[in-house]
Amino acid sequence: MDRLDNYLLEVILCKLQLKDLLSCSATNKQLNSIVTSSTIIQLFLHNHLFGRSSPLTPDHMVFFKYGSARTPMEELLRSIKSERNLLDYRPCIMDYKLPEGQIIVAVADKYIITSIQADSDYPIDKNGLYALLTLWEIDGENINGKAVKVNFKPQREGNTRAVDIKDDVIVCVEGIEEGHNTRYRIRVFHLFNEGEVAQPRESDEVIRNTRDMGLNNCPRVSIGREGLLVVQTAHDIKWTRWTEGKEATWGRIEKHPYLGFSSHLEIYGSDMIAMLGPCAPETPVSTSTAFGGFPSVPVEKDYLLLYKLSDADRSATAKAQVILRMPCGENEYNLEVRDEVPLEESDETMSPGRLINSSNARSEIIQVAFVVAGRPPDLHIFADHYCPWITLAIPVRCIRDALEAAIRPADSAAQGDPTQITDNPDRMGQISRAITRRASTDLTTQLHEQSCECCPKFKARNEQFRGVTVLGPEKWLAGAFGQSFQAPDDAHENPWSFGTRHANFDTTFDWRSDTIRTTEFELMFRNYNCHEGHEGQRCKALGGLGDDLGEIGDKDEQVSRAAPQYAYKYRLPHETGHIHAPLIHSGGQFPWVSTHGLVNNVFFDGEKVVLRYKNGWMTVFDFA
Amino acid sequence: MAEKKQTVILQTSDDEQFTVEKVVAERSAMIKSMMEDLGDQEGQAIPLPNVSSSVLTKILEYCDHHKTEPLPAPDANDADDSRRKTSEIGEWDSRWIQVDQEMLFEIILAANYLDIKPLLDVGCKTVANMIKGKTPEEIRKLFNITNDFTPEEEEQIRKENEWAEE
Repeated sequence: MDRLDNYLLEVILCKLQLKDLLSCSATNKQLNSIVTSSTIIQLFLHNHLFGRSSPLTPDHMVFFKYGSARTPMEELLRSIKSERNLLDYRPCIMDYKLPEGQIIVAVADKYIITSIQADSDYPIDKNGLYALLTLWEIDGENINGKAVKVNFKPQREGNTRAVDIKDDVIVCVEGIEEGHNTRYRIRVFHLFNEGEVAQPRESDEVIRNTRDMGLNNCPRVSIGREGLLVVQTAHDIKWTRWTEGKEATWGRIEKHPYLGFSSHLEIYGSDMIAMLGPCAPETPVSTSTAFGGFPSVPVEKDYLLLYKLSDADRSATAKAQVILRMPCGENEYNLEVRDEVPLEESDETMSPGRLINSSNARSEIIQVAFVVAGRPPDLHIFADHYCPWITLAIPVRCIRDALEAAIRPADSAAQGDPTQITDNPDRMGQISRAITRRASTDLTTQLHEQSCECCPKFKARNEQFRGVTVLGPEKWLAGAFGQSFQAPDDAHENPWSFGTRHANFDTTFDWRSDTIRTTEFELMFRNYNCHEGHEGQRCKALGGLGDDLGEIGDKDEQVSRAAPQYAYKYRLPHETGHIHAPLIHSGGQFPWVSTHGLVNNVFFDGEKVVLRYKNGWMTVFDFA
Repeated sequence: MAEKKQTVILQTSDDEQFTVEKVVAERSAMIKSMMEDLGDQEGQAIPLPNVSSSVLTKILEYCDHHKTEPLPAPDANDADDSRRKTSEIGEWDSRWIQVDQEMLFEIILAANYLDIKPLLDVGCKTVANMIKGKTPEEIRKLFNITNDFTPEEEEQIRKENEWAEE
């Protein structure tokens, strides 16, 4: 190895994952000096340390590819500066006004991407070009917009478009009318263009789909790290890497009965997919001819199915390797959120869960949101309009460990058939321990002991989904973190996660004045090092804005001053008496800020928070 | 009559000459650019003073196997090359690179000198895979590296790296 020069050693080190990289740095002085002096490696370590991006992918090597790309050194300095500004709480605050009817679809660096709302028509110019997106560049006090146009009619339904600023990519769906059918084509474009019309990428037109029977069968697209593209149609779910160009091969993802087009799909990192929805263990067999012979077996519960995709094994259908049953009813929820769950039979009061936006797979937390439609158990002051969301946050890292535990064969006999491995009770324990990260924790007893008398009792079930044993809440809830918040109906879209930090906001309905108010928004960093020997779930609140962000009324240009709110609202463990709330919190306050009415969305890209007001205004808190 | 294949002569550090199909030799960006510089001077050997005949034989085997694949763009940056995961080396490549450690490092050095990016990638990934999951002591033993840290320095590094330990 001593024959290789520092350049070649750095190339090798750049291919290592975190632990191996640190092992090398402890080997001798030469390797140590390469690790400590290489900008690329330092940036990778920095990003990992602050949970700003998926650490174990080579994504840290891919910097902004557009315009004046930064060098790794510039990127590192920027990253350190924004980190300091975030932790010291020093945002640069600016207000901008966007045109009516534009919604924000992506935020990163100095760019904000907007588009028309789903189901509205794309504007068309005199040359027949459709304005798919608008690229806004922040330049001090000004914001300059440039339309990104395409020469075909893009589909306008929800989830038919994915945009990533850092990867310089737009994925959208083109619908081509052919008689009574519509043929769909997935198009892949550069976001940053010299000209007016979007430039197709090498991998343009990666899929053709000819199915349409008059239903809304338009494919939905999601993108992840390292070019991962997942396409969901009413019939199947496929994946590929758009970076492979037109020759890209497709892999399939197995769907369980009832799981599919109406379920929720999010990507985490470059290879992990989560699907959430009600689904059935096996294809139900119906003896009835009702519903055209379609089985009418009711599906009672939500399940979170986790798939790990393998590039080496793309020809085989990817099967769910770990399946978590979602909690149902007060007695199955975390202690932190039990007070928010109605006492009645939860099937009637809790909506199916939804996966929260993973910011193009950059989130390090899988967040599942449930909306509570019933009356809360305690006498809440606004009980008539009570509509909180309960989110359960599961660290991606724990799921990765569990997936590894599921894939790794327990013994040689089990090799080659990962779905059978989970039949082994020891392996089941290993998977649930990987998720809970506390070897001795089994919530079963606790859930029984602490169950409330008037609610359905917690029932441990033994379910199998095509050979995979389902993990009930008692097996994994200890590793998750529960939180409740109040928000508008589309709240599942609102909390934006980047790494392990995320932003969300609350609203309340004031029954006295019949107005909706945005009460606060929060930017938080959670420590998910919840493995043995570490205190997990520590929160650091980076700040919150106070009670008076404005009232509904659509009074344009209405500007009020928001009071800086106390930084954090969670109680300390000794105050609650809950053993599951080891929250450590600190944080500053945002300065006084002008507001423009009701906030209807919050965006966060790891270094910038954008509040979008209902009347078109937006406030940017830039920490870079 | 079949068209005669265009060839080029390569001369190694131990003065051995190899007549190689141009399409094979062109896998090396360095040889390709030298061929362009030399133009039509047929019979002129291209000297490769940093590559021995045994290493070149091995590398030509690689180039011959991959000769039909598209060449990486000259301005393709390393970021694109690093997209593939550490463990993902093609089946043929992983069989081909099962060589002793000395030869592996020779291949990496030659791939760098000859500017064959995919080969450099395969070589470096192979070394990275050898390192995977090993302790510092095991890495030292594997590559015959001398520990030149003082005990204090070693303790300091251990503490610095503690945050990443599970």
